[in-house]
Amino acid sequence: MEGTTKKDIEGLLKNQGFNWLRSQRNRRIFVLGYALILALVASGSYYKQFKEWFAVDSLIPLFVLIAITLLTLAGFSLLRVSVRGIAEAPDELLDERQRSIRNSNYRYSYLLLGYVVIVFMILLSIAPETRPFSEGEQGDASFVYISLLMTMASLPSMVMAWRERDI
Amino acid sequence: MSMSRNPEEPVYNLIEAARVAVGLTRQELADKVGVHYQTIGYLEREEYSPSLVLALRIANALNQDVTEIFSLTPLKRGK
Repeated sequence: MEGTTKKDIEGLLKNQGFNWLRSQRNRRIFVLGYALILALVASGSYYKQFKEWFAVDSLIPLFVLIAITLLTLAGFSLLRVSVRGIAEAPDELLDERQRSIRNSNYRYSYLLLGYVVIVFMILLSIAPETRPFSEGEQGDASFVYISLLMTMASLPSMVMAWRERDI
Repeated sequence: MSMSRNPEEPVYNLIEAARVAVGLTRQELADKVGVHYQTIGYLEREEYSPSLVLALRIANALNQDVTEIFSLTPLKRGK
């Protein structure tokens, strides 16, 4: 994962690679894919329920869980690359146009955050066990919490990647 | 789309013509005025209106008066 040092952000702002992430259409597809991955992470809390409903011994093999974890981490890094790290960059490293789009997208992210929290509150209310990392018979809500934290961290970049035409 | 341009009052400019006239690339002009090269592109396409400070910097970099580069009315391009 990229860090948030001055050198990292300057490198992201000047990055000439990952051209497939520079078009708005591709970035929107990427955002949808990343949102799906976050949903898969949250669904890990219902793993035991899924096993009961579908009457299978092993619904999600271990390697699939590892793949989802790696995809989440890779998706988070690529998301920051797609928006050149602008969403997290401090004022002094951005020009006025970049500051303007960063601030505008934070405003939309904050509005969306309320709806995101409501969705997760609903998920937690129906999660088998709302205490994280517990060893209950039916499982726990750890994955829902992890997905929520990743969503909150990614939201500004996701909104920017979706809304901006060229970055 | 998130832009700083007010669609009801656009700011027209001749940045591209003036930049080419003095032999600067977008990157070189961007470095001179302290912005990202993409911002120069947005300015030239009139998809972003600069602040007063940036407009003055651009005019200085292009050795012209700011009123010769920017205008609230459409400018004639080319000669």
